[in-house]
Amino acid sequence: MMPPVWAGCLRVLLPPRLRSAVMRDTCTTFENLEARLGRRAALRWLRSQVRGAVGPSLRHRLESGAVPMRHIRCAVTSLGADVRQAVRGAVHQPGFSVAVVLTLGLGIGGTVAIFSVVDAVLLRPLPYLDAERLVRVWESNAMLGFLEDGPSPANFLDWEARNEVFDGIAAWWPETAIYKSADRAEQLEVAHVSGDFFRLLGTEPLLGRLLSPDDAVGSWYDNSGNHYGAEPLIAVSHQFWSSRLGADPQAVGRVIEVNRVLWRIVGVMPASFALPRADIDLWNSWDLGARARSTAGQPSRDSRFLGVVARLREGLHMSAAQLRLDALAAALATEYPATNAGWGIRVTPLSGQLIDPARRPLGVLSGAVGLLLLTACANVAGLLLARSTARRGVGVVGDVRHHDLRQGPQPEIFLPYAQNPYPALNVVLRTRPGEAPSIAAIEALVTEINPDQPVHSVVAMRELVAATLARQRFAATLLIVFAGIALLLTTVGTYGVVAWSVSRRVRELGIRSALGARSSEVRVMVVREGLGLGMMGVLMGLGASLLLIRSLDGLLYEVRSDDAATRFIVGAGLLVVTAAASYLPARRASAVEPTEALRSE
Amino acid sequence: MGKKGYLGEFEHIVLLALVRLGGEAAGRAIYEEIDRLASTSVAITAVYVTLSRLEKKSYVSAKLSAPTPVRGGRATKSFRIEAAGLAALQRSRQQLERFWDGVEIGSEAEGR
Repeated sequence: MMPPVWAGCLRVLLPPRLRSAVMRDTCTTFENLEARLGRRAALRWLRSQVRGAVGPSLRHRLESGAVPMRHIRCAVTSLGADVRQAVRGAVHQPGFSVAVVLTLGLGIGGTVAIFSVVDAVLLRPLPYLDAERLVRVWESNAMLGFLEDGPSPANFLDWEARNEVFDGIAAWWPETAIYKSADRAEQLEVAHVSGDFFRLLGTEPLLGRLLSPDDAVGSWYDNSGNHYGAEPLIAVSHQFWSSRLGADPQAVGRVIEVNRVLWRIVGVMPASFALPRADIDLWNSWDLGARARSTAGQPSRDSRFLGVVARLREGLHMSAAQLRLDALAAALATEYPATNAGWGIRVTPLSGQLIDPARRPLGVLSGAVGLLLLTACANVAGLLLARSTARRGVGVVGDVRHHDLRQGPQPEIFLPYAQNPYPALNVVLRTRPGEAPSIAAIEALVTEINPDQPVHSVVAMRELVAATLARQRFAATLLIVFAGIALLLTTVGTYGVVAWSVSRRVRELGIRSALGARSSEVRVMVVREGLGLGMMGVLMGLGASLLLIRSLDGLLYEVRSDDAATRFIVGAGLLVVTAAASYLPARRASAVEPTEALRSE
Repeated sequence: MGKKGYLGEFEHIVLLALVRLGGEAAGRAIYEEIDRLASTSVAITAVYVTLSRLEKKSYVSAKLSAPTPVRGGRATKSFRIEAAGLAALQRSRQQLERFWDGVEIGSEAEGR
């Protein structure tokens, strides 16, 4: 017996006309071979027969003009017919065609645009060596509600010294700094990083070299521009290099003044390097213990402000690392109960930290553009179906809104400036009532007080508030545009379907009016049918919104995700739109002359 | 597939096998003859596809023989070479011989 799998394969391959003869001969030969040479040899032969059947079968089908050729010709012919019909339709109903093309274009364009962001933010791996081993390390205190707080310098130094789970661990804190070029001073973002920062990330510099652990030994500087320890060395961002240094290929070795210290540039980072944030312009080495040692003091243990990144030991799982860090945190809490009681250590994946804040809105946005595209396709398909078979179909998409005011207020401490002088600060001014704020006047005032003081980014408070919400506004605007297009499309679709249904029923409507139906009755009948479709769509949309609304949890602002009034208003609005879309065809239906109608078929 | 009047390589082989079998044979016999003489394995499907092509060119004809005298036995198809097929074989042979005339691959290879 031939194994059924191979026999089945052969049978499927063979052209019907040759099937029985070839199958029979194959079977007989197989059995002969099996009896003579054994099953294994027979099977080997059978497999070669199946392989050998592929080419000849295909050629036979093509030569005999049997199935595929006819199919190909048929497909080409009907494609031509489809194209001709599409062109005719576009000429006859240009407005509708333009709307459909625009909507499909917007849907496809939106989907591609959003996907390219999703791809860059969520799907691409981070540009660091073995990024899956990189973690963020935090101090956490469940009692106080701080789950991910930056550690204090003293705790970080202890983690570094007693580390058993990391190949490397590094800390940073970002600061606003003053950069002085020949003609002006401006405000930039600098990250002070501990010695191992660049080595453990494993990024290659674009130019020059990375800051090394040796550069950090003893390095720190005070607000008066006194730098201590090794030579002041700085790495610059790609952005800084191209905008402030004119992308100078000889930039390495140049000296720049930042926070009154003269730094020598050692390297330029690639544009993809975005730690701790994408807007960091400069990185300089900082020895966390040096300042305290210089005054024979101790680094602070209760002022928690550092960012920490670490590389897990090869093969060590994060949960195993977490267990050992729990033990370390318990030990530190025993040694320093005043500052560390109740504080634990927590590791999270670096990738999650980088993308989490963006993940939810992006997911909702891509869902919305997907829905829009789906609605567009469903509507076009429904219309074509209605046109060809006089069946009816309508798509209704639920309203999707998106507001994100992100986080609740965080506990903060405010200190008087005199107590904590800081080289860069934000100033809030209130102009006298009736006086328009003038940037030039403000600049003049500051320069009069201190010519070295840069003034930058003078903005109205209202704009500043708007800017903090820019991303949310952008996403909300996009969603509103998408929802609007979907609504427009739904209207057009409803109109098209009802109008088509009416034109198919001219005869029936004519008979009705010949039998005495008043035109208002015909109108009501047609609109009611449209509303019936709309109602079905609304009910389905409500059901879908109940299923999908959880994805909006936490993104809604001042609207509860189970808000009944919103649903009611949206549903009612859609029904009004449906009624309006049905009214035009209804009016045409009621104007049908009985005589014309009876002649129509 | 040969150009008009000439045979493709496998068509040539199938027709020659048919001639060797006395000018008339069942598909399986033709396959077995080719399989016996060919240096590489041959697919039964390829034999039948080629026979069907030759049939269309009227080089061979097919007829159903009487069903085998067993329960459920079916009629088997047998193929016979036609005059046009024999002529095509002749043409292909003469063509090949013209090309082979004076060619000695062995001595050529030694001469190099």
